[in-house]
Formats: sequence, structure tokens, C-alpha cells
Amino acid sequence: MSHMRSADRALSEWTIVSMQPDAFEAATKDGRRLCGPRRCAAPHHPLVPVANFEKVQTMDSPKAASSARPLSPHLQIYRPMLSMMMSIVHRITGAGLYFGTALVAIWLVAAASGPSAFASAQAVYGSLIGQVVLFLYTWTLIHHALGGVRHLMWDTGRGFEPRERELLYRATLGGSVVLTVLVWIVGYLLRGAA
Amino acid sequence: MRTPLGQVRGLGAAKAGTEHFWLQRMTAVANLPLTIFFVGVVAALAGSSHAGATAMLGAPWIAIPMLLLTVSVVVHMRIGMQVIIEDYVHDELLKLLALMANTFFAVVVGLSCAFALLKISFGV
Repeated sequence: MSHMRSADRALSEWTIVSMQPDAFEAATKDGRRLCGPRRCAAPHHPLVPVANFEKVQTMDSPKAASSARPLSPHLQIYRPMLSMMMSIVHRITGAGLYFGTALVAIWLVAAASGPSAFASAQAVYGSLIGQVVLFLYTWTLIHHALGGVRHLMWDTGRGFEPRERELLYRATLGGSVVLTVLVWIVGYLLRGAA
Repeated sequence: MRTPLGQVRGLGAAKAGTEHFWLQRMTAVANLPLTIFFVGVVAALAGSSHAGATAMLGAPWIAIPMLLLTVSVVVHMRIGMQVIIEDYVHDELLKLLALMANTFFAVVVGLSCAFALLKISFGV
């Protein structure tokens, strides 16, 4: 049986059961069985698999037990929204910057190695592909930095209202593009100055 | 089910508390001004000669913030990538290896940048 199918089956056999916490306490204290074929109690979650519960409980392999549990819905279930896209992009830009630090390290090591090594590095970074990569790297850096400011602001409990959130997302996106272009204009104006 | 000792320590299965969260915020705050500085330095050095670049990068007021940025960035990116690995790599052995590689990468990048900056500064 495929993975998906067993998960579907498990879901269809779930039911909503509510039980007062003290009733649950009493049931566990005198050692009564919590789950029968159509009755089940759980203190933390109202959703409990009724038909599978006993089977799951008696399984000795934790892997087998987890496969009978329902899967939480993942990305493909949701309609893309700005909030989730910005969250995903923040993580992707972070991962990109992670590998991008190697470019900085190579550039600094080349400068420390001597004029010929540095000239090679400058030639590679100054080539068309190099410039495109560095331009994207600049945007990635600024976008992640602005996203970080947004997260720090959220850490103080501010900016959570729907309109504030949307404004922050738009400011992050727009600001990152504008600042990236500005940095590159300044970079080109300063070209060869040092 | 939590033991009284576990409750007192409050560490859970991750064996760590809020240090990770706090360190990520602290390095994020440090990264902000240092990154702005870094972008300025790199923009000023676009297409620069070796002599010009080393003269600038070797100046204490440039080299010191660059070293600070190196430390802060390497710590920040290491714990950031650690979270990504822990979220997506479920195989225990693979996760262990990925977490190790993550630390190695962060140390190699950090030490390379620091060594290069110090060498340029001291001119040996």
C-alpha cells in the first residue's frame, strides 16, 4: 500500500472527541483503557484516530506507528500568499548568502595572496557572469537584511496587523530592489577610485 | 511526559534553550551596521588595483569592522543553516553529516577571511 493511501485511510478513520481534562485524569489514574473501538480520549488534541488507535498503541516499531498518523498539510495545499512567499524567500536568501560568503573569502584570500591572484579574482568577478552573480548577491544580501529588520521589529511585538504586515512586505521588496540598484550605481561611479 | 528534572532544565529534546534564538538575534543586530559598512567597502573597491585594495583593507578602521563582521556573519549563518538542515534532513546519519559539514564550512570561511584580513593588515 502506498504511503499516501494509508495516510488517507488513517484520516478518514479519525473523529473528533472531546473530554474534560479532569475526566481524562480520572481515567488515567485508575488505569482504565482510554481507547475502545469507537471511544477515545486525549487531553491535548481533540482529533484522535479511533479505529487505528489501539493498533498504533501496541505497535513496537515507532516508525510503523508514525506512518499511521495523518500528515499535516504542506505547501502544495495552500494558495501562495505574500506573507508565506516572503517567509520562504527570507530562508532562501539566507541559504544563498551562506554559500555567497565563500565568494567574499576567496576575494579576500586572493587579495592577501598577491597582485596576480587578486588580478585573477577581479577579472572573474568583473566578468559578465561575475557581475550578474554579484548583482544578485547584493540583492539577496539587502533583501535578507531588510527581512531581518522586519523580524526584529516583530520580535518587539509590533507590526503584526494585516495592513502593517502587507506594508512591511512591500517595503522589503521595493526597498531591496531600489537599494540594490543604488549600490550598483555608486559602485560604478566609484569604479577604479581606490 | 516530563520528568521533574527535565522541567527544571526546560531544555526538551533539543537539549538547548533560547541561546540559539538569542544568538541569532544578537548577530543579526551586529550584522546590520557592519554589512552596510561592508557593502560600502566593496563598492569602493570595485575594479580596484591590488595596491589600492590592500591599502584600504589593511587600514585598521576598515580591517577591524571587517573582522567583526566575519565573526558575526559566520556565527549567524551557521545557526541559520543548522535550522534549515534540521527542518529538511530527516535521516539521522545524513543530518549528522550535514550539521558537521555546516560547521566545517563556517569555520573554513571564517578563518580564511580572518587570516586574509590579518595578513593584509600586517603586510607579511
